Formats: sequence, structure tokens, C-alpha cells
Amino acid sequence: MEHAYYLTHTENLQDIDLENFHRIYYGAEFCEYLLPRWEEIEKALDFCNEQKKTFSFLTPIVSAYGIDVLIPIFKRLNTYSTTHNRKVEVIVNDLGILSLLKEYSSLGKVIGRLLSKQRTDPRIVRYQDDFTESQLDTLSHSQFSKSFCAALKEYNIIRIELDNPFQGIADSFIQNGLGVSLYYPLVSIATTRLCLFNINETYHLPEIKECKKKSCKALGTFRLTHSTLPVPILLQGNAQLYENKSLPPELEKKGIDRLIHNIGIVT
Amino acid sequence: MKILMPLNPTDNIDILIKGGADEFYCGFIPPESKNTYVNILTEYENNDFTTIEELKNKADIIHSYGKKIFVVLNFQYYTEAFLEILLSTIEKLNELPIDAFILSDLGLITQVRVRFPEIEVHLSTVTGAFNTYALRFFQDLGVTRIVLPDHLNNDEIAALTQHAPKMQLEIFVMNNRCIHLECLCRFHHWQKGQPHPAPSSLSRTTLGHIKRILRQFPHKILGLLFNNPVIKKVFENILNQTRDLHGCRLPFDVSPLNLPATRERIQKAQELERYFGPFHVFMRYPPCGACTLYRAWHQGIDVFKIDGRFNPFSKKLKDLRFIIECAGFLAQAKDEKEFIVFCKNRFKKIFGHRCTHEQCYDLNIWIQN
Repeated sequence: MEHAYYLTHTENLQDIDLENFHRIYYGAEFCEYLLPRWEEIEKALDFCNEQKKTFSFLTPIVSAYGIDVLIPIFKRLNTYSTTHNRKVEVIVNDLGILSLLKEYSSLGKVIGRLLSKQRTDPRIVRYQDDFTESQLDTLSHSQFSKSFCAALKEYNIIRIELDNPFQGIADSFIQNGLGVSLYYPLVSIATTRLCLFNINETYHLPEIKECKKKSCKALGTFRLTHSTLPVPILLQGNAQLYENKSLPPELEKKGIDRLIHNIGIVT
Repeated sequence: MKILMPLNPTDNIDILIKGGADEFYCGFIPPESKNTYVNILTEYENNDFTTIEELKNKADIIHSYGKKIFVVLNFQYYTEAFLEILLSTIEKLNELPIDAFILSDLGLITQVRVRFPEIEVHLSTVTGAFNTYALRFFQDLGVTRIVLPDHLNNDEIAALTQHAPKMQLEIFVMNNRCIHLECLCRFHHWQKGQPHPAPSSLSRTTLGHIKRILRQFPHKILGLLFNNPVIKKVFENILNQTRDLHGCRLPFDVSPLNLPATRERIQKAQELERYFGPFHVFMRYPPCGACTLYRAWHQGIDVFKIDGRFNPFSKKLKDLRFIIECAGFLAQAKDEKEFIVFCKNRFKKIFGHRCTHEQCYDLNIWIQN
């Protein structure tokens, strides 16, 4: 089993103990306005090199703004991958980015967990016993069917990634011939472009516009609680997540060969 | 320009077509899906077609007017076993005929393109195409029309149309605007007959009545009223009793996760709690994007979609009349400002109240005008 460390910033890298990890995940998974500058990426790459770890770059859903930011990053990552003879992976959560990556042959293409479309409502677990077997089976599946993987064959994807919802994971992915990652312990529930940290000051409402303040970084994470929720929802910037501390049994039998430790997302 | 209308089995098609509807879309729930599908909104479950016969009846009427009908099969994913059932359903529906299928699951789209290359596929907003590369990706898959996500602002839509590959783009102009990205929202929508977190003692209709009564009062007074913790609690309890308690509509209690709980963080928590709280839920009118028509139309988008398969027929008629009147003024308007003034006046006349910034698709447009 490969273990990956989910890096959220490049300050105080020397304090991070990577002894039990093989790989670093860095970038922005949920928000295009939080994509790091190249200087920060380079710092993370150098850190990876020093520590003899491999590197995966996280990307979110992007508008034209994000595409403009990502193109120079991909060019540099592609060059880095070739010159250092180290395969850099890009985690894709937007199929447009997969299309864009066709131009960068040295970068490994990984389909991120947001494209799995798994149901990750934490309330499901409360009523798990009352769902029919068939409903529960459907709730444990994802978009990553054989047809889905076949559709992406020409894009040379090497891996797919999953969330770890309370109700479990039904698929066995071994037959797909792709690597399978699992994010742990934070499960993604929802993402928005109407970000509650990008609020119009006059109307006190979120609006879809470029975010320059990045106030979510400064304000940290908020707990959302409600009587129907078994665990709090964690609101971090434009993403809602929850914590599931249990791992499904027999990960290898499901084809899962990488665990991404992502506790650092929330602060 | 085409106006795409939602359709349920009880809607009167003749009236909608005479009112200006060009195309229709509806949901279809295959009988085999009973107890298998798990994420149908209750509203859709009660308003989708369930038999091929009733759908054929409507399709025949629509085609007799020379108009088109599309079927939506846009769950975010289907299980391997269910894909086969669905493909067989699509084959049968195609014989009615159906003019296009609005799909989301990539596996399903690929299978439909391989097995039935003659079928026209539209990409559902649930998939999420936010950039030109995404449009190209789906064009390569054989998709001929894309329903753009509602989380794109006016400028982003304009930029997208300038660099888009040659394909039809469609935007929502009424009723569709969720707080979360539809393509990345993975909350569960509880269905009829499923165990449910809410006691289901309040119907959607009752909630609608309460909203209408509250909206008679000025915003400011209600804002002050909802600041009272006892009143806030009462309305939170009303919300908690509602059948359609989606994850995005829960009246959350909000607090900073870790220390230090600085003044800024506490203030933000209060702001967030207010946003999720009953005031916003009760005061929010159905979203409206009529003002976005001007720029979108000038940028070459010519399919405008009205959301709300589950809406009462009277609401659909009002929505249609409003959008048709606004669209009719597009060519006459001197500039965007004049068009927006026209839309706002028509809105008040047709819906009986002023439009509000809370329901506006694009807050920037509201601020500028």
C-alpha cells in the first residue's frame, strides 16, 4: 500500500515528518482561486526530491481563469518530469483538464475523487439498515464503471480515486487495470462557486466572481451541526467535508493500492 | 432562439406551445428502477413519466406541432447492471421517437453513442462543463448540445461562447440555482418510501403557504424578527419538519472548528448561520436569470431553459410568458440597461412583486443596474 501526504501549504516544510509516506499531494482540489503559484509548487517539488518522494498535483474544476493559470504550470511540470526523469501525476477533477493534458505526455493522468460522483451524504449511515439491499448497493457505487474507464482509455489515465463514505465502497476495481486511491479520513460532500467566503459586502450574499481575498485561508474551518447529522460537516472555503475515521475492510481486494492522508485540509 | 420548457405528465402541451414553448424536456423513470434508483428528488419522482404509453401520447402531440421533446436521464452515475436496463429503455423510447436524450454519466453517454449513433445526446448540467476544453472533450464524445452549469457568471458565459467549438449551448434562465455546484453535490435526496431524517409532517405545499405569508412583510422587519432566538428556533423547527429536507437546506448551527475562536471567526460563524438559517430559506424567491438573456443572446446562445418539472402548471405558464416577453424585447432594446429595466417591469407585472437581489442569477448585473 502506497501512502500519500496531502500537503496544504509550503510553509515550515522541514517540520513535516514524511517517514511513513511515499508521495506528496499538493495543489488545489476544490477552488481554482487557491491554485498555488509556481514558486510554491517548485518548493514542494524540491522538498519531494530531498525526501525522495514522488509528487502529485491536485487540480479543481476550472473556468477560463483556472485554465489560464494551469497551462504554464503544466508546461513547467511537464519539463520538470522530463528533465528529472520523475513522473509527476496530475489529479484531474474536471474533464476539460483531461482534454488539455493530452498535450503533456510526460504527466501521469489520474481521475480525482470529485469525478467519482459517489453519494457522500453523512446522513445515509443513520438509515443504512432501512435501505433495501439494492438501494444500498447503488449508494455504494460510483461513476467509475467499466464503460466510464473505457471511455477515457484514449486519455491514458493511470489511476482513479475514491472517497470513503460511511456506507462503504461496492466496486471492485481490480479488473479495470487501473490504480485506485482512497482519500482518508476526510470525505468530500459538496463544492460551490457561490463561495460563502467570497461574499458581496453590500448584499451579504455569495457571488460568482474572482476571489482575491482568500479569506477562507485566514478564517479556517467551520463546523456545521444539525440534529440529523451523525457527524459535523466541516466547511472549508468552498468545500464541505466530513470525517470518517474507519477504513473499509480488505482494501487490496477492492483494488485500492494508495491511501491519501488528507487531514490537513481542515484547520 | 428557442425556449425549452419542463414537462410533467399532467401539463397541457397545447397551451404551452401556444404560449411560445419551442422544445420540451421531461424525466422518465423506468419501471425496473423501483427500489434501485436512490437519488431522485421527491419532486421529480412525482412528476416524471413512468410509462412509455403516457410519454408517447405527449410526444405525439408535441411532434404534431413540429416541436421537439427530450428525455432527461441524468443521475450522476448508474451501476453497471443498471446501465444495461437503461440502454434497453433508451432503445424503446427512441422508437417513439424522442428527439434527444439529456445524459450525464460518461459511461452511459459512451454506450449510447456506440450502440445508437443516430441518437442525439445533450450533456446535462449535472456533468459540469466549465471551460472550452471541457466543451471539446464532450464534442469529441459526440455530444451535440451542452447545458451550461448555472454557476457561471455572465462574463464567463460570454468568454466561453467566444472560444467554444461549434456546438449548441443552452443556459438556464429561470428557477435553477442551487447553493452547491450540481456536478459536485453529493448529498442524498431522499425518496418517497425511504427512511427519512425528517418526520415528514409538513408538505412542500404547506411550506409554500408559510413562505407566501411571510413575504407579505418587509424584508427589514422580518430580518429583525428572525434575529430573535425564540422566533428563529420556531422557524428552524418548521424547516426540520419538512419532507424535502436536503443537505444544502439544513438550518445548521455554525461554530469555528478549532481554537482560537477570534472575533472575526465568531462573526463569520454568525454570518454563516444566518445564511443557512430560516430567514434566507423562507425569504428566497425562485431564482431568475432573465437579465442574463441580453448578453447571452448577443454572444450567440440561443437555447434558454426554464427549470421546474415539478412546478404547478400555473407557475410554468407565468415563467414562459415572462421569458417570452423578455426575449421578444431583445431585438428592440437599445442596450443592456434598457433590457434589464424592461425585464424588471415585466417581472413585477407577471409575478406580482419586485424581483430581489437574492433571487438574481448574477449579482454583478444587479449591482450594475
